[in-house]
Amino acid sequence: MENNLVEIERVCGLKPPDQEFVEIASDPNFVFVNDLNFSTIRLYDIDGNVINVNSWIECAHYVNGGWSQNNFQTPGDIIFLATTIVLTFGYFILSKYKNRIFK
Amino acid sequence: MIKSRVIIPFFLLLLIILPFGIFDNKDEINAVELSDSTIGYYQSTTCKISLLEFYSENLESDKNFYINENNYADINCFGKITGVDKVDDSFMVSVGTNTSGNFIIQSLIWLSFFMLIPSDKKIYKFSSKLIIFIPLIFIFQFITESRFYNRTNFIYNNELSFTNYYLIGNLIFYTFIALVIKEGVESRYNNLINFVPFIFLISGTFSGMNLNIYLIILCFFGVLNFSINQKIKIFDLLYFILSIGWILNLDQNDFFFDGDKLRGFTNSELTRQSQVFWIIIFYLSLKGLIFLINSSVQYFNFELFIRNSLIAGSLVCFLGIIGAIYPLGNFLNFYIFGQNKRGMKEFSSIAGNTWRGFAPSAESIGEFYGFIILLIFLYIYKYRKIPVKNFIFLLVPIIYGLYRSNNFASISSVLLIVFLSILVHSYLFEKYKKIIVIGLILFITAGFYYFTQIRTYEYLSTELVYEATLHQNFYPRSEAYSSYLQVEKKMIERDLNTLLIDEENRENASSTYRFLVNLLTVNFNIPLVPNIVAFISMISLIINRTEMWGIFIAKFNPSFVEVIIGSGPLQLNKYLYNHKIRLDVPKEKLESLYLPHSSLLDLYIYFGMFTFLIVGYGIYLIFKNFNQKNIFVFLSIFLVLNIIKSDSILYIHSSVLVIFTFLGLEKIKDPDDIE
Repeated sequence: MENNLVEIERVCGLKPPDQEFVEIASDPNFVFVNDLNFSTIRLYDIDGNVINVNSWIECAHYVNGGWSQNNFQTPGDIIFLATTIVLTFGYFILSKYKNRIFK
Repeated sequence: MIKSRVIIPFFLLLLIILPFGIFDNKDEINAVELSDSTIGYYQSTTCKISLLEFYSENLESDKNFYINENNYADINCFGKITGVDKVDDSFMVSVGTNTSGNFIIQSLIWLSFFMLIPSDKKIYKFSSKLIIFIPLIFIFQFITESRFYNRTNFIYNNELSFTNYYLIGNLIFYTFIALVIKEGVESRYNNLINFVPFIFLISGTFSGMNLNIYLIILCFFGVLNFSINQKIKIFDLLYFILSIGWILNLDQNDFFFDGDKLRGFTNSELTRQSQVFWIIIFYLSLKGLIFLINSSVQYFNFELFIRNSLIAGSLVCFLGIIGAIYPLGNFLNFYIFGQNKRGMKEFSSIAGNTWRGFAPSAESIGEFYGFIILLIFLYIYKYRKIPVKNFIFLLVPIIYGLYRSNNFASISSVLLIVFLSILVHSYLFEKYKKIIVIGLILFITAGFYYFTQIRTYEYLSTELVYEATLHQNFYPRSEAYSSYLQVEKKMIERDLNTLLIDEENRENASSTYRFLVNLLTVNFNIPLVPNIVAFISMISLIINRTEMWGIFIAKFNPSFVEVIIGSGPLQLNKYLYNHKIRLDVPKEKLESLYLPHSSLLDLYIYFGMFTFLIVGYGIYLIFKNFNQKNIFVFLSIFLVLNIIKSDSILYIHSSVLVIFTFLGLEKIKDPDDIE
C-alpha cells in the first residue's frame, strides 16, 4: 500500500497523520470503521462494480486493489437503450429499402 | 423466399455465436484448461473470457462441468465467464446472461424462427395503431412485478422518470417486437395454425423474465381481434365482472413465487397491480388465440400439421439427448429455445423427467407425443393413406420419446382411444351399437366392482381424506411421528370429526378439508348413489393421484368468494404459500413446487365454480360434434383423459394445444374438404 501512496492520495485525499497502514487482505473478518470526517467516495472496478467507501483506509485498500473513481464501462441501461434504438431505427430503414436491398 | 431461407439461418447463427464468442484479444487474458488449480484464475478474471473461448479450450477436457446462466450479471459481462465454482466433483461455470440482453437476443432469435414460416400468397394489412398497445401493456409488468425483476436484472429500475433508460429501452424494444410481429403476421397469418406444434420445441420463455414470447404474439392477435370484431360478447362481460371480483377480493400479501417451471405464464406476486396485469394479459392472449384459430382454420392443412408435429417432436427428442451429453448443448438448448428450466443433465429418467427443459413436466411432453401418434393413427385409419411419407420415419423418435417420458397415462390412453376409434368405425358397432355401449358400461362397472373387492370399501372411500389428514398440520406441538400416530389412530377409528373438535386442529385444517370431511361424514345417504368424496377417493386410487390430491386438499384454503370465483387467472401465490401443511418428504424437497396434479383443480384455483362452466362447455363441444369421422373428437377425449391427472393446463404450450384441439373439434368437422 505504501508503494502506491501517490495514486491512493490522488483518489482518497491526503493520508491522515495518525493513519497506519494495516494489512487487510490477510484478515477476512476485518471491518472498516466509518470516519465521520471523511466524505464518502464512490469507486468502480474494471467490471463496473460500484462501492462507496467511508474512511481513508477503506478507500486506500480498494484503490490499492485496482479500484478507481473512473467508471470504465458504459452503464448497462445506456447500452440497452442504445441497442433498442439502433434496432428499431434499423428496422425502419430495412423496411423502407427492403425491396431495393433484396432486389 | 429462398433468400430468407439463407439469410435468416445465417442471422440466427450470428445471433448465437457473437454474444457468446466476442472477447478482447488485447487484454492477454486467455482461457485455460479447467482444473482445481485454475478455479482462482477464472474467479479473478471475471467478464474477460467468452463462453466459446472457454469451451474451445476445454473441448477435450475430461472434467465434468455445467454451464450456469448468470442473469444478474451486468450487460458488459454478457457471454463472458463470471465465475467458476466447484460443487462436489463438478465445476459450475457461470456465464453472464444479463436479463435485458437476453430480452433482445432471444426475441431476435424467436422472431427469426417466426419469419421462417412460409408466407401466404394473400397479404393482409393491419392498422399500425395496433402496435402501440403492446409496449403500453407489457411495460406495466416491470412496474407490477418489481420483486421478480429486482432479483434477476442488474440494471432493473422501475422509477417513472425520463432518465430511466431501462424502462425507456424496454418501451422502445416492445415497439420493435410489435412492429416485427405485425409485419410477420401480415404475410403469414393463414399459415400460423399449421405451425402450432413448434411451440413444443420453442418454449419461448425469456431467461430471467416472467414472460413468454407467445403471450406477446397472442396479445397482438387479441388487440387485432378488438379492432376487427368490436362486439362485446357474454364471455367478455362475464370476464369483466369476474375481474372486478378477482381484484377487489384480493388479499394483498408478500408471497413471492419465482415461477419455477411455470415461469412466463404465472403471476409472481399477490398484489392488485400484478393481478390487473395478468388479468389483461390472460384475456388478450385467450381472445387472440381463439381469434387466430377461428379465422385461419379454413387454411388448416392436415399433412402440413402432421409434418410439423413430427419435426418438432423428433427435434425435442434429438436435442434433448444432445443436451444431456454436452454441457454447451444443454446451455444452448435452454437459451435458444427459451426453456423454463434447464434440461436433463444426464440421460437417465431417474435424473429427472427425461425431456425436462423442452417440457416442464413428463406429463405435458408425454401428452404431446401421444397426441402426435394418435393423430397419425387416426389420419391413416380415416384416409387409408400414410401422411407425409418422407417424414414418417420421424415417428420412431416420437415413439421413443413417449416411452422415455414414462407417462403411463398417455401411453394407455393412446391405446384406449385407438381401440375406441377402431370399435366405433367397425361394422359390428354399426349393427349392435346399443349392445356394445351397454356392454362397455357393464365392463367398466364390473371393473370398478372388482377394484372395490381388492380392498375394503372403507379403505377406498377414505384414503384420499386420510392422505389429506396426514398432510394437514394437526397436533402441531407434537413431534412429527407422534402427531402422525395420533392422526393414524383417529383415522383407524374413522373419527375425523373428533380431530376437528380440537380448536388448534380446526384452525390448521384447510377450508377444503373441513368441507370434504363434512361431506364424507354426513348422516344422510342416498341408496346406490356413492358419496362424492368416496367416489373421488376411489378414482384417485385408480389413477395414482391419492397423495397429490391429498396434499391439494390440505393446502387449498379458499375464502367463500374464492370458492365461487377463484383467485384469478395465473394466480397461484395464495395456494402455494398461504396455508401451512406438513410434508413427509426429505428436507431439500420441502421447498419444491407442489402443484395439484390435475388441470381441473388448477382451473378451480383460478376460476372457482366457473370451472364447471368451462368443463361443461368442453363436454358439450365433444357431444355436439361427436362423429366417428371427426379426428378431433378422439384427440379431445385423449387430452381430457390426460389433463385430468396432470397440471398441463398451467403450461402455455399445453393450454394452446388443448384450446386448438377443442376449437378444431368444432371447426374442422370434415377435413376431407380441406386441401
